Parts: sequence; C-alpha cells; structure tokens
Amino acid sequence: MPRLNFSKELVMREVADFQSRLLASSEVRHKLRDVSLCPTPRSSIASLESITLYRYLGEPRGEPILIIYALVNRPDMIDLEIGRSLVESLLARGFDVYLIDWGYPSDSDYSLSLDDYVGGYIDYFVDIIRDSLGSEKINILGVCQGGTFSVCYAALNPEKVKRLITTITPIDFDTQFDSISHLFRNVDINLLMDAHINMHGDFLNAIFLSLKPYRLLQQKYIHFLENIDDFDASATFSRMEKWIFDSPSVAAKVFQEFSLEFYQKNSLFLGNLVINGYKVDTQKLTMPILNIYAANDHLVPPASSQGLRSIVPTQNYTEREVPGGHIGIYVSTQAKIAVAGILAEWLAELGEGS
Amino acid sequence: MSSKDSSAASGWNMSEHSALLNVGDGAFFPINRAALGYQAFLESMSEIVLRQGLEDDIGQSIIDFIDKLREQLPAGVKDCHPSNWYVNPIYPALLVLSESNLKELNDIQLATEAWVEKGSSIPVVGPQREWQTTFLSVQHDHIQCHKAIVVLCRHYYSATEEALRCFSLALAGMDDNRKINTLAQLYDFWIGIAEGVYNTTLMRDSFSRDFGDAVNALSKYKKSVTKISDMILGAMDLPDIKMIKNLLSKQGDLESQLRDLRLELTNLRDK
Repeated sequence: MPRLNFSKELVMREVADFQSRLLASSEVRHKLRDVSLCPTPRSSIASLESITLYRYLGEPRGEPILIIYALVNRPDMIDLEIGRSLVESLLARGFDVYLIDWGYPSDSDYSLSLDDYVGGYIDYFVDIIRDSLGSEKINILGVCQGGTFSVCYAALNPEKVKRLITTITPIDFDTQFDSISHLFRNVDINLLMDAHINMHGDFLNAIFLSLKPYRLLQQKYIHFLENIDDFDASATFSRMEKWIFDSPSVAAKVFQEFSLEFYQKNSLFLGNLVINGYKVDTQKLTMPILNIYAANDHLVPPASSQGLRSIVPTQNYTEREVPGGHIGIYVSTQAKIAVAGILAEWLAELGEGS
Repeated sequence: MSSKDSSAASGWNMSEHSALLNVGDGAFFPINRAALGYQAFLESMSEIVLRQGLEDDIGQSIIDFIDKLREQLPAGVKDCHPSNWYVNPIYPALLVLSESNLKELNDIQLATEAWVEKGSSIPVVGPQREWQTTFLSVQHDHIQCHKAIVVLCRHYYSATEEALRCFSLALAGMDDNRKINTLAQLYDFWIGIAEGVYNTTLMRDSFSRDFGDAVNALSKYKKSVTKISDMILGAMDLPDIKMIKNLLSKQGDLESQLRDLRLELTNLRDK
C-alpha cells in the first residue's frame, strides 16, 4: 500500500497556505515587473547593422575571450544577475570579455545566411578585437548554437583562434535522446520558411516549452508561488522569465540553412558542411579545445555535445561534464564555479593562465 | 467531478477561499493558468483526505479516484475543464480528450470536405476561375490542417490517459523509503510521472511523423491564405506579400553590398 501520510489538519493548512501565497503573489509580481538583467557594465565598441560587439568593463585586462551566443535567445542569460553571471566570473578571473549581441533581426534581415553570420559578422568582430589588441589570435567561447557557429568559424579560420571553448553545444544532431531533431525530422523546412518571412521567436519558444510542458508550464510556477516569501529567489525567477519570453526572431535564411544542414542532414558531424563554397574541415581545429556540456541537458543531450570528440584532432581536446540542465550550468548557484572554474583549471593544465 | 460538486461533498468550500479572483495578470501570464490547475489538484485531493474515516486507507482512496478519472476520460470531454490538473498544458483550449469528440470532429471534417468537393464540381469559366480555384484550395488546405491537428491531439489524449494510469500504478507500488506527507509532494510526484510519459510519447516515431504533418499542413494553409490575400490586395492595387518580400530581398542585397564596401574601405585605410 502507498505511504501517503496526510493529516486532515495539515492538508487544510496547506490549501489555505496556497491561497494566501497566491494572494500575496500579486503584490510581489507587481514589484518584480521592473527587475533588470545584465548588471555587468559594458560598452559598445563596434556595430554592424543591428549587431553589436560589447566589451565588458573591468580591470585588470588579461587574455581576450569572445563570447558567441545562439540566435534563438538573448545573451542576457550569461549575465543574469550578480552572483549568477558567467561574465562576472570570467572578469573575476582576469579575462578581457567581449560579446557579440545579435540584436533583434527585422524582416529586412530575412536573407541573412549562415555565411553572413559565420563568415561575415563573427569574422568582422574577431578582426576588430585582434586589431585593437594587436593580437594574432583570440579565445572564443561559444554557447549552444553559438558554439556550433564557433566550431564552424574556427575550422574556417584556425589562424585567428587561440583556444576554442564550446559549452552546451550541439554537434551531432542524430543522437538517441535529441528531442528537437526528432520533432523536426519530418518537417518540410523549405515549405515552413516559404510560408514565413522570419522564424518568430514565439514559435521557437513554444517548441522548447513543449518539450517539458508539465514542468515548464505548470510546476515551476507552483514552486515560484511556494517560495513567494523569498524576494531574492522570486527576483531571480522573474529575471529568468523575462529572458525566456524575450525571444528574438531568427532570420529566415539562416534558420532554413541551420535546420536543413544541421538538424536534418547532420552535415557538420558527417563532414559534409560547406559554407559559401568552403568546406568546414573540423580536422583543422588544431588549437586547444575545451568542450563543456550539461549532464541533464534535454535540449542538447550530452551525446550531441560529445560528438565533437569524434571529429576533431584529439591531442588538444578536453571535455568536461557539469551537473545540471541546459540553462542551469549558467544560472544555478553553482554557476560561478562551474564554467569559469573549469576554464581556469583547464588553462592551468595547459600551463597557461589568463 | 466538478469543483462545485466536490467542495459541496466535503463541506470545504474552495470558492470562498479562492484567491484567484483577486489576482491580476502580472508579468507572468501562464502563472494563473498553472495556479488554476494546481488549485484543482488541491481541491480534488483534499476532498478525498477530508472524507476519510479513521480506518480508511487514504492512499487506496486516491488510487481509486485516479482510476475513476481515467475511466471517465472517453466520455468526459464536456466535464473536463481546461484548468483540470491532469490536462496536458499544451492544448488546454483545444481539448480533445474523448474519442467521441474526435469522431465528432472527424464527421464535421468529412461533411465539410464533401461540401467543398461538391462546390469544386461547379463549372468554372471566365475570369473568376482563378478566384474560385484558389478559394477552394484554401478551403481544402484548411481542412487538411485541421485533420492533421486532430491526429496530433490523439497523442496528447493517449499520453494523458497513460499518465493517469502510471500515476495510479506508481502510487500502488511505492516502497517504504518513499513517503509523501504533503499534497505538494504528491503533485511533484504526479508531475514527474506525467512528464516521463509525455516524453515517451513525444519520442515515438509516430509523434514525429504527425507533428511534421501538422506543421507542414499549417505552413501549406498559411501559403494558401497568403496567395488569396495577395490576389485581393493586388486587385485593389495595394502592396502585397510578394512585393514586400521582393523589396526586403533587394534591401538585403544592398545591405550586403554596403557591408562588403565598408570592409573594403577599412582594408584600404589599413594599407
């Protein structure tokens, strides 16, 4: 028989408690309307159309590291709040931190292609950093799809990349537990994009939320209400919600190319990817590579990230698993020691500091 | 069991204590929907607990309740409110939890299709031909779209039924190490099971096929609607989607050329 130990008094108290928390949440939610993200000061040092290169302010200035984020969400998640910020952790370890902010693509950006992003914008901003610092090479840290872009960029321009760090990055799009690949397997991508101008962020967001609907559309809000007395925890939750629902559109062409070439054809992993006539040869990734992935990542399963091991020269390749989910490795309370800490350890192993 | 019936039976009137009426929308629109569902869960489970006598087995009563819920699913669509705790959160508004309702939708679709086919057999001559054929293709695509969504909804229905079955079995098979002392813990237990069942459903090849079919049907329908919109706008000499896309394409080309020129200029300056 099941071990359900319910006392009538406690159940009545529990129900009444929920009601009072729900009432209290109205005022708390009102106060939380104006919570802000991205506390770390930064300045814009270059821009191209609506895309901006930021440099984070901090001293002293060590090695440059350029963060390349995905197109499907805003990069605010890596600088969510004080104490939950990859940027803050990297600055604290002495890195000179840069970020490409992809902005909010408009309808006129619908023809931007993979080559425009990888061969155009990333290369342009990498050169700006190299020129401004007089460095031949810089470090690149890619996040999720930004990591996939970083791999492509580094393979096409190995002479400009000193070290490559990929985090929660999909490489092999044909693994057993890859739910997004599974969902898109039978979607006619050309027809989909023919019917739209750009891919709306709301649609993509709905897809991501639909992968875990009970937890993401129900349970997490109940937990939020249960912790409504903790204003700091509520504020963190509010910032996460703001980030989740701030989803930019993705330019039609790059969405089409990425979906077809990566999700459906798995071209990068199979060695068939060509960008603007140039083959993306991952054997040219001879620089030190650190690949960090999350153990419980439901969006980018570990096997997908681990695929990088199979396609790069292995002598300089290191991978590390971090407990947590796709976003948790950046925003959990352990985040400050997770990615940045592993990076620092790895550099020490290489015999190099920041 | 409706919230009104269960609260009357227990003497515990949830509606008197409901805070939902006073809660504003706030910044998080899904929170109210989630709270409604959780309140329904609390109501259902607390009603069972409060009804128990000293000798009664609460666990078995809850299992019996869940089994009854599952048995009522095929006929229960009219009683199944979107806010009920066991309803899949993805389609609370498009609730097709019963086979009879699915059959009803299917019958409507067949009737509509027959009507459209009958309409298409009317001879079309002269300048109206393109209008009529385009209009008919919009109708046809709309029907196909609806069919595909209904097929997809069958997966959500079967996942809901399976989740309730697994919840009941898991409660019956719980070992001594696991104790559930609060309704919140019971709810979390339910969420874990429901999510697991849902994930299994989602990862089936049949789901992937039907999801793809639904997205493709939606895209085709949207294209049809766009075509007829363009025809109407064109007839009124107003900008249509095709024109806008052409302009956007040209703008994109110009921006690309401008980018290349800017880079060339930078290179020349560096030299």
